[in-house]
Amino acid sequence: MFNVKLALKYFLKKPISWLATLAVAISVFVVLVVMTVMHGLVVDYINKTHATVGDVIVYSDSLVGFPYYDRLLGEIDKQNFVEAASPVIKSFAMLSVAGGNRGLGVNLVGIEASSYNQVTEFKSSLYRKIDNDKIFTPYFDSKKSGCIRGILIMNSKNYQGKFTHNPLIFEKLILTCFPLSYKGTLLKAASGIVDSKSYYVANDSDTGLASVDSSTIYIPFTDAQMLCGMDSTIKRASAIYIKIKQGESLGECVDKISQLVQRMKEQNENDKFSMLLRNVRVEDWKTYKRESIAPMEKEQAMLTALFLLIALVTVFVIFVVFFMLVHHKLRDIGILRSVGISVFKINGLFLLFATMIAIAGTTIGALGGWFFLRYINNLEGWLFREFGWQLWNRTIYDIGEIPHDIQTEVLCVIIICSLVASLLGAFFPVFNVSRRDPVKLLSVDQ
Amino acid sequence: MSKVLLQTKSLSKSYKMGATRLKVLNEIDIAVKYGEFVTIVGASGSGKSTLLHLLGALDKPDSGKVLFQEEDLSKLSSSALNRYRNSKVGFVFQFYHLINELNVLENILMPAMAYCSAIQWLRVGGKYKKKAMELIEKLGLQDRAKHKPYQLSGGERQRVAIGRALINSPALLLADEPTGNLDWSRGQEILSIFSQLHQQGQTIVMVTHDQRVAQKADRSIVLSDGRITE
Repeated sequence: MFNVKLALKYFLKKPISWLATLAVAISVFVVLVVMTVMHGLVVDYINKTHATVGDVIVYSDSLVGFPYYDRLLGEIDKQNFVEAASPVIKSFAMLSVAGGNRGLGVNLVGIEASSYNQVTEFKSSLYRKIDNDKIFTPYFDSKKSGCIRGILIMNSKNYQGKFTHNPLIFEKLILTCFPLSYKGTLLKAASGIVDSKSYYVANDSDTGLASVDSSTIYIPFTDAQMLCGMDSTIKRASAIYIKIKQGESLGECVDKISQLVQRMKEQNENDKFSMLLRNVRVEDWKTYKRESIAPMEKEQAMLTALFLLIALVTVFVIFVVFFMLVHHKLRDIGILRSVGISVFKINGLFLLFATMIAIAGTTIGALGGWFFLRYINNLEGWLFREFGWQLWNRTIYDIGEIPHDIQTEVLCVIIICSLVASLLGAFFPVFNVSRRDPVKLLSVDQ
Repeated sequence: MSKVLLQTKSLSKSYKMGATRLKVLNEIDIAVKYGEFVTIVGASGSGKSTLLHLLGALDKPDSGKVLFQEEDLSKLSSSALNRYRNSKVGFVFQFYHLINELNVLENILMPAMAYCSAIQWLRVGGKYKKKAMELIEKLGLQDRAKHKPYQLSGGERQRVAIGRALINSPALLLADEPTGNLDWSRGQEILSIFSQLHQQGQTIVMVTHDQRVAQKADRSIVLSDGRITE
C-alpha cells in the first residue's frame, strides 16, 4: 500500500523519473528500429534470393548450356518430392532502344512462364498481373513480341524516390546476342555474327533485388534459346529450377536429383555432347547463390554481434540511469530506514518504481519504434522529394524498400531485456545502499 | 521511584578517519526514566548526536549496550530493530528529513502505513488518519495538511517531523537539535511543543548545544570529548 503510493509519487512527480523513462524509451526505440531494419534487410535479401531460383538448381556454368534438359526435366517431374521444375536460359545480351544508339549490357533470362511461375515467385514481382500465357504480351499489340524488364533498367524514380512501372509504356527494345555453338564457338560468321530481335516492353519485374532488377531482361524460353544459339544442333538449356514439396528434406532432394543427373551423364557418356554434361551441377538454392548470400550471412553474424554490443550498451545505460536514480534517493532511503521500514520493503518500493519506469519507457519506445517503422518509407520518400536525398539508394543497395515489419519474437526479446535491465539496474544499487545503517544514509549531503 | 526506560552501559563508538580511529563516545553510562525530559548538551563534535543515533538504533556501537525496557538492542533481530525504530521510538531530526513527494498528512502517516498491508490499512487506516489529523491540529498545521514539505516554513516542517515521530505513540521521543535550524521564535514554538508533550508524560531525550534549551528539561547530561562530564 505504502510502497505503491510512494512509488507512484516518485514516478509521477519527479523530473528525473521522466528522464529515466525517456532513457529507457530511447534505448528500446533505437534497438527496435535498428534490429528491425538491419535484420529485415538480411532476411529480406535471403528470402528474395530464394524466391528467384526455387529450391534446387541443376545448372551448367558454361554459356553453351547443357543438352538433354527436356529428358532430365521429364525424369525430375516424375519424382514424388518435386512440386514443379522449369528450364531456364541464362546468357548475356546487349540492349538498345529502337532509334537510339545506347547499348546496355544485360542478363538475358529465357523462361517458360507457366512452370517458372510455379517454381519461383516471379509472377508476384510483376507490376501487371496477367495470366501465364499472356505474360509476354505487350500492352498495345498482342501480336508483337514482348519482354519483361527489370524495374531498375532505363526507368526513373518517382517523387517518392521509388522506381515505378509505367503502364502506358510504348518502348521498343532490341536485344542482341552472340549465339554459340555446342562447341562454344560463335555460331555465325561475318556480318551475321549476332542474333537480334525486337521486343516491346510487356511488363516490369520488381523482385526487390537491385542486382537482378537493374540488369535482367526476361523473354520467352524458345526466343532465348534461339538468340543464344541453344536451339542449334542440339537443344540446350542453362539450368533447371526445381521447387520441392513442403516438408521434404532439401539435402535429400539434392542427393536424389544428383543421382538422376549422374545417371543421365552415364547414359550419354559416349555421346558427342557428353562434354557438355561434365559441367552440370546440382545444388540447393543457398549453395547456388552462395556468392551473394555468404557475405550477407557474414554481415548478419557481424550485425548480431553489433546488436549484442548495442544491447549491452543499452543495458548499461539503463543500469547507470537507475544507479543515479537510487543515489538521488539515498536520503529518502535513510528516512525510511529511520522510521523502521525494512530493507525488503525498501527494495520492493524501488523495484516497483523501476517497474513503472520500465513499463512506461518500454511502451513509449516500442510504440515510437512501431510508428517510426510504419512510416519509415514515407519519411525516406519525403526526404527524397524535398531534399533529393535517399537513405538507401536502390541502385546501390539490394533492397526494394526499407524493412519495417516488426518481428514479434524480436519485440518480445527487447521488451523482456528492457524490463530485466531496468529491474537489475534498480535492484543492485538499492540492495547495496538499503542495508547501510540509516545514519550513514541520512548524513548524505543532497 | 519511577522505572528506567532506557539505559546505556559502557557505550563506545569510534569512526575511522584515514589511518587513525577517532573515538567519539567513550564508556558512556546513562539512564532515562519513564516520563523524563533529558537533554544531552555539549560542544560541537562532543559526540551527542552519535549518542542519540545509538539510542535510536540508527547506528551500531563498537562496544557496550543500549537497553530499552531492559532489552539489549544489540540482541534484536533486524525485524525487531525495525519494529523498535518504528513504534518504540520516534526520531526528530535537525533537518526535518521529510519526504518531499508526500504531503503533510502522508508524511505523518508514513511510519504507520509502512507497517500495514493494503488489507490491514483498510481496517486500521481510518484510526490512524484520525490520529494524524488530531496531531496536525495539535501542532497547528490544520491548514497545511495537503501541503508538500517544500511549501512549508522551517518551523512547520519540524512540526510535521514531530507529528511523524508521534504517530505510533512511541515510548521514547529522540530529538536531535530540533531547534538548531530555526530562528529563536520558531525554536521557542517547537520547544513549547516538546514541553507540552513532556507534561503529558512523554519521555524525551533531546540533543542540543543551547543551554537555554537545556534549561527546559528535567536534567541535562553534558558530554565533552565523548565522556560524560556532568
